[in-house]
Amino acid sequence: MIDQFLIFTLTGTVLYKYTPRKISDNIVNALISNVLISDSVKSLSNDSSVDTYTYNGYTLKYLRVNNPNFVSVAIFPTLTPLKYANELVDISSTLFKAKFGDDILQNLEAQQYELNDLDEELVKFDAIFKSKLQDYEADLVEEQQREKELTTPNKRETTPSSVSSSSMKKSGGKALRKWGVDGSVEEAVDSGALDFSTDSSADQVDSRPTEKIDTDNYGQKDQSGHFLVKDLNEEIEYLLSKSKEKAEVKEQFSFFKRFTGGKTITPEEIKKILKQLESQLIKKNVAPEAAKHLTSSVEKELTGSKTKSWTSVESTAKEALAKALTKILTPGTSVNLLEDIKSNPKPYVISVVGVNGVGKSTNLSKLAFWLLQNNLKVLIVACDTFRSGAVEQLRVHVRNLQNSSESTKSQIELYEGGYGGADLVAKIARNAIDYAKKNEFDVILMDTAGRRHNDAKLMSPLASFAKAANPNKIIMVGEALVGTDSIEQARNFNAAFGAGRGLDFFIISKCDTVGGMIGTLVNMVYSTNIPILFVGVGQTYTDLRRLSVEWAVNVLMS
Amino acid sequence: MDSNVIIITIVAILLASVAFFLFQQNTNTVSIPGLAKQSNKQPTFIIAGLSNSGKTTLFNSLTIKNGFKMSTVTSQEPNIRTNFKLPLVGNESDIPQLSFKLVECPGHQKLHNFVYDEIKNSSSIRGLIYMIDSTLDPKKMVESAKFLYEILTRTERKANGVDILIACNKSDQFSSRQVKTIKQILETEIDNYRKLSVSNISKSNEDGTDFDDDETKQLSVSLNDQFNFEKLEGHIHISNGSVLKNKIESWTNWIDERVVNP
Repeated sequence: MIDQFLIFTLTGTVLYKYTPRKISDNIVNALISNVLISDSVKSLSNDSSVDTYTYNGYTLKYLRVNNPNFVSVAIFPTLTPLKYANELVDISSTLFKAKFGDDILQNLEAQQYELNDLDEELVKFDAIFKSKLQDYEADLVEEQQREKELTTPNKRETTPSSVSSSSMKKSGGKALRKWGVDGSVEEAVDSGALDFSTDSSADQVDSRPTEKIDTDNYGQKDQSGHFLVKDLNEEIEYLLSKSKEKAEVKEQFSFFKRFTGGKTITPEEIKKILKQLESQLIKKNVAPEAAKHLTSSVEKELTGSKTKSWTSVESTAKEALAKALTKILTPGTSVNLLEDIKSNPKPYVISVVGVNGVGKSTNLSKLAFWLLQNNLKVLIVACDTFRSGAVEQLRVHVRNLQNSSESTKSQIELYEGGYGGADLVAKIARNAIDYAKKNEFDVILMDTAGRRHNDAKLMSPLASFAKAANPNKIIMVGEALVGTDSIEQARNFNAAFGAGRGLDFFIISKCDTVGGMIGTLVNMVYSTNIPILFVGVGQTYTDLRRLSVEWAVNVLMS
Repeated sequence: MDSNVIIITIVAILLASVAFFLFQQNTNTVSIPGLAKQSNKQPTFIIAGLSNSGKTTLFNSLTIKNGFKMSTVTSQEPNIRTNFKLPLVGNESDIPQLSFKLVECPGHQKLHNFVYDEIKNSSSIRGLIYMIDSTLDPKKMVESAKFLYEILTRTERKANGVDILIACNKSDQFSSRQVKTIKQILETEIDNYRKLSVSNISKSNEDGTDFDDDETKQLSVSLNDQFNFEKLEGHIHISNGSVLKNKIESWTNWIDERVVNP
């Protein structure tokens, strides 16, 4: 059974609500903040199809509709799948748009509530929705009966091997398996519970009541609501045909409107402009995949909408693209490393990872410099036991930092364990943490060996390293120079630490060397949704900056 | 004769619109062509706060009859009215009303820049309503304090600051905290946070789009002094209410005061 069906606007007002059962608002809000705002589902191809999201034991089927912009969502428990959910969401959205679309746009233009003076129509829509839902339910019951008729002979002989009821059984069985630890008991419980909860032996007993209810429904319709039902069906037909034929209305004075604004944006126009913007983004080193995603989301948003007064289609598109870029680059959580260090038990472990030569050690020492300035005691650990000279490089950095001022002399140390294989890395990490605990260091910074992200042999030690060191934060250093490959780099490193552990931040180095081509920033965040902590903008210890999203968007758009 | 007049009118309109369009284009090239943020000169009220604090419901109850009854979900885009009639008491009496702009910005972390942009681009902000869910436990209120801090660093840069109403919503609920307690939590947390911000790494703003100096970060209060709202340029008022129960008189009064005595 469906638990909730909602239609709501992007500005947060619920336009239509059907809630047969009370469920928490958190579920739909989780969909909005985790998927719709964070844009974590990267679906490029399916323009207007229903997407799925599961959260906290519920499945949400949702569809985004543009012009007027609204989202419709059906929510039901994951354990009792709703076969017709996709169709229901799809058809309800079509009907809603056909019925209210024009009125909503008009109300929005007049700056009124979307459904101003439409209360009666809403009641009608409610009736339409409920009758549709009833139809689907009836279809489902019929289908189940047919299936049962087919499978009952089988079931009488042996219970498990039936094909048709597999989906129901699977879900029930999985939930139950959690209780049973002992193998034999589990089996007994399993089949016993199935007998009661779903079908098999209780088959005939179960099917009869539903059949009765079903006929009751039909009876009611025949006696009291025959005319109403017919009326509704007619209206549904009318709305569906309306939504189909409503392809294009020739606009008058469209030439003038190009200058004065208030012009309806056609697909061709917007495509042409977005093509230009897309290639502009690619020129700025944004990966084609990310650029395509951004422009197609803008295209969906703008097609069919009207330009504001005195703005051209082009500037409208640019504004929307800038908005999308800002959204992607703004971190989803507030980023303040110092606060986190101070509120966690000592020592706070940070490790940096990345491809060869991106500047892991350099940025590590920049971090160390900043931490020293904030009166924190820092231990730098040389976990790069592979590349020759890696330890010596860190030693030079530590010496420089020690000499940078009088007060920092005893505040920073290097912990080293020489060169060797992967086992040595984990050992050094563990010993370093013990050492830091004994000597009351506040922060441990662990350098790791650079590795190629597409080589499984090199990437696999990262999981054991993450387990041994258990860092509070894992930071990946990526260079701004890299371009399209950055998407794969970020993805592979994010997945390398085993289940339940990923990267926490990015530091993008060498931003001063690429001019305006800072597309890598977008690529990394786009592919993983992990925020950028700092950007490196030079060679000295002070050349570390927090990312100003506004600056980045301006650079990318210019 | 008649047709001549029409043609002349059309030509005149055409010329005027082309001229305006070109003019518009020229002014836009200040920073990025076609991307210049429109500055807003209309007197404005802004509603801000974290998600699930009741912003959209407050907006609805201010702009729609019986709007407080409408259910809402997390917003993805701001709610905007540019024909918002104030003072609100004028709805029932003969007091003349004027058009104001009312903006309600989403509370999701990724969308905070809507508030920042609105503050930056509006030259006449009459007031900002910062909403807080007063049933939150103090630990979660830290997030809210951070957001308020970020807003303050922007409003305090304006001449005379911006008047802010801290609206403690959901006060009808059993688990809600008292106004005094909330004020204390906010002040301590903002005090902590501005110290952290000063020692944080500065931003990458080669073209000076973000202001990032220490003066701003400290909110113009010396780090040795304890921060409190009274030390700010803008006047900060804090009061409780409940949108869902339509108990918002103290907030609407505050808005009306700002309208009558700007």
